[in-house]
Amino acid sequence: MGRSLALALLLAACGDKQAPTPATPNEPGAPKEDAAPFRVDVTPPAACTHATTCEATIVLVALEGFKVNADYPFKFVGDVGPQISFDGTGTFAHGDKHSGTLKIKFRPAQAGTIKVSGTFKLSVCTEEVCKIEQPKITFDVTVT
Amino acid sequence: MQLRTLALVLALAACSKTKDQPVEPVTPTATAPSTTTEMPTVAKGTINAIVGSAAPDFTLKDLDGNPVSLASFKGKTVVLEWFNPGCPFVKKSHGVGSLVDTAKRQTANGVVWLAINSSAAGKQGNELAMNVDAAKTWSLAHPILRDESGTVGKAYGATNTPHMFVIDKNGIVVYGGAIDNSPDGEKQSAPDGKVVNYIDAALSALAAGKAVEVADTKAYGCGVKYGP
Repeated sequence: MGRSLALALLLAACGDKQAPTPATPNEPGAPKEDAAPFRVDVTPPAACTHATTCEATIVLVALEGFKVNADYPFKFVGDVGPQISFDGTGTFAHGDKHSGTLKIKFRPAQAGTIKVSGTFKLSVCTEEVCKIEQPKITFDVTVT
Repeated sequence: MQLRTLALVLALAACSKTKDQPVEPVTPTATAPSTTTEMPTVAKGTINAIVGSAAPDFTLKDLDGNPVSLASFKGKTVVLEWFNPGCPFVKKSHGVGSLVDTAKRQTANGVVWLAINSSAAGKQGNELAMNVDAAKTWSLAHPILRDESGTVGKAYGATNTPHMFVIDKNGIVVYGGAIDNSPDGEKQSAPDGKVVNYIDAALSALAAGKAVEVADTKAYGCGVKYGP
């Protein structure tokens, strides 16, 4: 059975767009705050039938000295629409210090290709800096 | 079956830092004077060892360079908030979370609220201008005290920003830990959706002459950026 997946991640720069951020002086030569590199891999369900619960997997991998924040409540806030509903915000399982897996459950209303989208709320840290990131995740699922 | 996964690596824009600020002197750790006010006995903290003990006294300078001593607030209830304006959890808490107006409400009730920044020189959140801007952005009317040496932070066992402590009128630390039970800092991850502001709860108990029910919790947020 063939399936195709189109995945787009739109990741907001510099973390937090919602909270007011104090201005930061930008002196030439001043030390830079560490970047927060990470990787997100999304695997859609191998099979998904309409009007049933389907499960996709999001794997977070922290890179370059960053670790997955062990205390953060990772979640996927799905974009609910006429064609899709979500069962909660996912269950995050920590792997090693640098990775973790979020299982998300959704329920397509109809057969066909549907777009699954939402916001993955995550946090990665080094000893020096923590980042809260909220990348937008979108992928297609073929529903039978 | 055909599956494709897409991986993205992010290199996020960074915020720059200003020059180091001079280190403020800190008085040696001592015990704050106590009054004779009758208050319930406080159990010793297990997560925050300082809970149940006399609050270590300190003198730190505010953002204007004025010295502020804990001892000068003898007989008052004091809240200490470990602060770092560069920490995203602090930004969340002050922007949308439980720190939005808690200090303003509680100081109106006569509570003393002191933010303490223990970021060492050159570390995230240390810059004076960044703290001044944060105070303006979040309309903070209370002092932000600078603890660049980290002496005060370590005396209290502050590990995170934000990390909260409540000191009762007898000078005893009666609460230590998180600002609330929503570790995303934005009040969207509390169990069952019921956000508990631990500081409001502790101060309400003190005002009623009762023991603080939840006195010792695990702080969440960024690590305090102590120096070497």
